[in-house]
Amino acid sequence: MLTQFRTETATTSRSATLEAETLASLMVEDEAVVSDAPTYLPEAAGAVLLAALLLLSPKGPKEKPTR
Amino acid sequence: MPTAETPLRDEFAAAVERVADRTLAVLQDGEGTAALADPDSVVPRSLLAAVRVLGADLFAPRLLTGAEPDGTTAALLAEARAAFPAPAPSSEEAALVIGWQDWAAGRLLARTPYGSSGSDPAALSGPEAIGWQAWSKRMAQLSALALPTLDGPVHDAARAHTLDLARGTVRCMLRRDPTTAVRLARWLAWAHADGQALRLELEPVLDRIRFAGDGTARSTLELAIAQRLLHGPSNGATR
Amino acid sequence: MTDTAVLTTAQQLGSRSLAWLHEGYQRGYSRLEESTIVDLADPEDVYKPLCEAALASSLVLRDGVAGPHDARLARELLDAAWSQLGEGDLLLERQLRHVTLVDPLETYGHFARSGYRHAAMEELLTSIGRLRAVHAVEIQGSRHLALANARRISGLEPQPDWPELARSTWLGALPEPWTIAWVIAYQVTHTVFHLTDWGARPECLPEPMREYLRDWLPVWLDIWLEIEQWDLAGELLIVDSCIGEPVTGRAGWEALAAAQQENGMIKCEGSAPDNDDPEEDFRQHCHTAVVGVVAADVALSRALGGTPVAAP
Repeated sequence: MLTQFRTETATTSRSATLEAETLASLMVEDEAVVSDAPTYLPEAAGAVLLAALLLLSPKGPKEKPTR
Repeated sequence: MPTAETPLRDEFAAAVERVADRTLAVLQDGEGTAALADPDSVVPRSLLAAVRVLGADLFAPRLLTGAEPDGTTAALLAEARAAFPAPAPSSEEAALVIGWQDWAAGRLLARTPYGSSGSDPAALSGPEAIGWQAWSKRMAQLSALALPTLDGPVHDAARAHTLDLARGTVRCMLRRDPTTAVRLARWLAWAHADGQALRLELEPVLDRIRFAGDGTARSTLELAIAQRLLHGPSNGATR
Repeated sequence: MTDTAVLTTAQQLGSRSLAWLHEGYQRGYSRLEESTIVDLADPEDVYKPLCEAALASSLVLRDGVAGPHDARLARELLDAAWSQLGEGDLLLERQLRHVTLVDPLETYGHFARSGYRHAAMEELLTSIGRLRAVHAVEIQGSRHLALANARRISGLEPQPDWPELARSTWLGALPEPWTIAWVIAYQVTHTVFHLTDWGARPECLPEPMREYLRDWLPVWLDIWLEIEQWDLAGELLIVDSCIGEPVTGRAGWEALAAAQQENGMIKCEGSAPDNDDPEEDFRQHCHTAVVGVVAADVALSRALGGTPVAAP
């Protein structure tokens, strides 16, 4: 015999449209909107200051950019 | 019942977490099935929604050990698909993603008495057409297809473009988006299990995600599936 | 084959960067004080930018792919820089004072290649090149390569063990590509610059490094373009030209061209503040102008004159 479940039906207070939209947003999740890719770090400033004595290494920005 | 303070999304998302956690436990402890609901009781709608969201992944513990989809889970998934028809997505792209997720669930249900396999959705564009970035983002949304015994056009695309999957994974790692990264790493693990050579060492990636993941059960399930695909059944512990 | 749209964009971007750089020095920005040359704690740091402008100019002249106007600007910049360096005397003095310092030799190499030679400097460099101390100095692997390339282009003996030097860099280890950090990215770009002598010898890049870069350069360019790190993105575009057939396509060039302002300036990063003072702009962004000139020069030279290394 096949298993059968009794399930709640949608109530009027939560429209089928809202449910469907919510479901779609959980099924198709987008990637993180804001990147947290590596940038100049003050912690690495020591290394950069040393490097600054030498040619063609980048000069670090004065402070970490805020974003 | 959802109110303004507890929006529907929070309610459904919490249910997804519970179902993912239960599935993860089955995968790791080797229990038979998830027993997500008691057939004699009324299944809450949020649980049904969660089952609809996780779809093919509900069968991951069985497929990864070489078993066929079980009837109880299949009945619940079939019920969820009946209760929630293909949801209205925000874009054509999203509709296609959902179409392929449903294709995967349908293929697995078709092996049970609750079968309802439909026709193939429209083909997805490849990385040559839309770039490796956009293509890999879409593949991350289709990670539930990366399961043993499922095979189709999306899998062919994954086979043919493992470098693009690897680039997508590295891109997400560097953007510090482990949620998307783990889904792409899962595809790479699938490709490895399929016999494809990878240009990215996957073991350190999965290990990194183990430490720096988003901590949700849904992502931990993705990670556990990836580990199992990479190593086989004996070595998949994530916690 | 580099697509022609990229070459057109590159040519304009490089030309405008060179014009901005040239104008800044013409206005007298960042003039070298004689006393700063031996002062390692130079707070204004005008020596390094001057040497970098000279490098960019020397590459424009070396590759010969610029139009007559740009070639004239490059020649004028080199002349001006050589003159500010006392026609090499200040490099000699700096190298004499600091035996194991890398940059006087590195700078001299680019002048020497362009025909600006200094007999006493060459004698000194040959002499200190025989010191174990100079080769044992504890600097980054990419800095050792800078020295090696400078000796190569100046024709100085002894010639280094290139494979060993290449292996000792971060890139030489072919590290997990998702571990790269901002500072490391600059080490990678410089490893490639020096191994290939700024794109002139793509075949000198060890094959495993080339394959590695072909795999991951597109990712690195993508993530740093997204957060508008224009200076680093420009260096990655130079690398793309240095490894043989470019792999990153148009996106980087188009983004950098869009970031270039009317006067030719490209900010080092998108979030850099707007300055009222053009001299402050010059100080902050002259490195990115150098990068723009070099990126365009190497891209054009590889596409037009160089023999690209075929994709594996």
